Amino acid sequence: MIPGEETGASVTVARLEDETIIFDLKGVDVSLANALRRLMIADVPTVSIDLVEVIENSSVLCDEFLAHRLGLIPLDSTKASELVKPYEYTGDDDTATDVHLELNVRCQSDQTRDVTSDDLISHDERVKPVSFGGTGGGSAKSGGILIAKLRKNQQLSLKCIARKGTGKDHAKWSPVATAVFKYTPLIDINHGLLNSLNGKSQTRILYHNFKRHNAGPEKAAIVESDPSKMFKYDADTDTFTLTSPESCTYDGEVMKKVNELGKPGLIDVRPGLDCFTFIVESTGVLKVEEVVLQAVHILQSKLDTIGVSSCFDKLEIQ
Amino acid sequence: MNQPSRADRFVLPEGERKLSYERDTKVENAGTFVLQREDHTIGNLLRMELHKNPDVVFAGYKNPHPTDHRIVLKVHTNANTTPVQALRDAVTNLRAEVGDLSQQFADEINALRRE
Repeated sequence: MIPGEETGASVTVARLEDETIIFDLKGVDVSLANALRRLMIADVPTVSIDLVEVIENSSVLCDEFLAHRLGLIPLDSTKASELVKPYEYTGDDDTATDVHLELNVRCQSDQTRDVTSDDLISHDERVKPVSFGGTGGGSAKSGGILIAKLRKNQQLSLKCIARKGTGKDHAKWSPVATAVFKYTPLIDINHGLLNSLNGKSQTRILYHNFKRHNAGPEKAAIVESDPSKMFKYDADTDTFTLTSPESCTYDGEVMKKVNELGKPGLIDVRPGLDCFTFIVESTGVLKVEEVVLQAVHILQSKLDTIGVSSCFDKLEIQ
Repeated sequence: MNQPSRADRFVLPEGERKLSYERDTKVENAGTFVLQREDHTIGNLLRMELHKNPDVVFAGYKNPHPTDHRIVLKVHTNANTTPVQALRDAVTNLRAEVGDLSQQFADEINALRRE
């Protein structure tokens, strides 16, 4: 922990896009970082197709294959809080837990008909298949996610029930595509040693009669040696800079190179042990910041259920 | 189907307590907590928080079996505190830390969204 601060924990968001967030978590233990990661993957609730009733399937894909594909289709879960998980609901009002979707497609033309997530019709305003607006990675032209392909006169007619769930039940309910963290690197460049590289390569310059590329070979060699591409060297201005510490993979190649050049300690790369960089990508079902926020809230409520004082008071008596 | 219900993994059965504690019969200030329907997320978090307490002599956790949806947490403290008090402190500290993080994260996001 950073001395002087009360809890020591701090968050800084480095980048926030629609589906990606990169943030730094400082002053916490690995166990908390890992708990947060696990919660984002397995505990943040979303909505997914859970039951499929096949009325007509004359496509080449079998029913269970289609049902599995339908389950994996991301459904907009921003209103998931309005639904109740089926196993937590005791009433008998189906609308509290179930969202009905339908798929009715028949291929009439001679050309192959692509059935995509855009053909899924939702009977509920709260839940809709995620729209990728034509720019998504789906192979179909519309931008929807491809479910099946139909030949002339083949038909698909399905009724689906989507339900709320979490990633620990089935991965289809996981709101994240990527949820990873790594130690933020602490990179030290010893500028005294760095400048001392000049003298050594000047002799070389005499031989090769280079014009301005004074310390080039060795500094450039350090840049070259690094597979994580963290450093840049500009030969014209003779500046050696750390440009992308975030791409650090702790491969140790730079340190190896520096030792090889006879300058151990010129560059030191080590993990900051209480500092983590998170990279989280949403599947599109929730906004990415919402995923992180919900994960933190779930952790709070988990701790609250354990920490309820009445729970402890009873323990004391035993 | 010969398969336990999927919900068994995370729904606390009726009448079952989330947290229970059993004192060690031989060692003073030692005991075992059982957390029903929790996993490594909470288990490891509590263990590491307990390690920060200088009065805790030992803290370890296990998930007895992958289909056993509980965490067993063993705690041994010195005479200054009791396992129950140590766990209570650990949970309180974590709650404060997570609450702080939650607030900071929300502030960061609001600031970025306003830009």
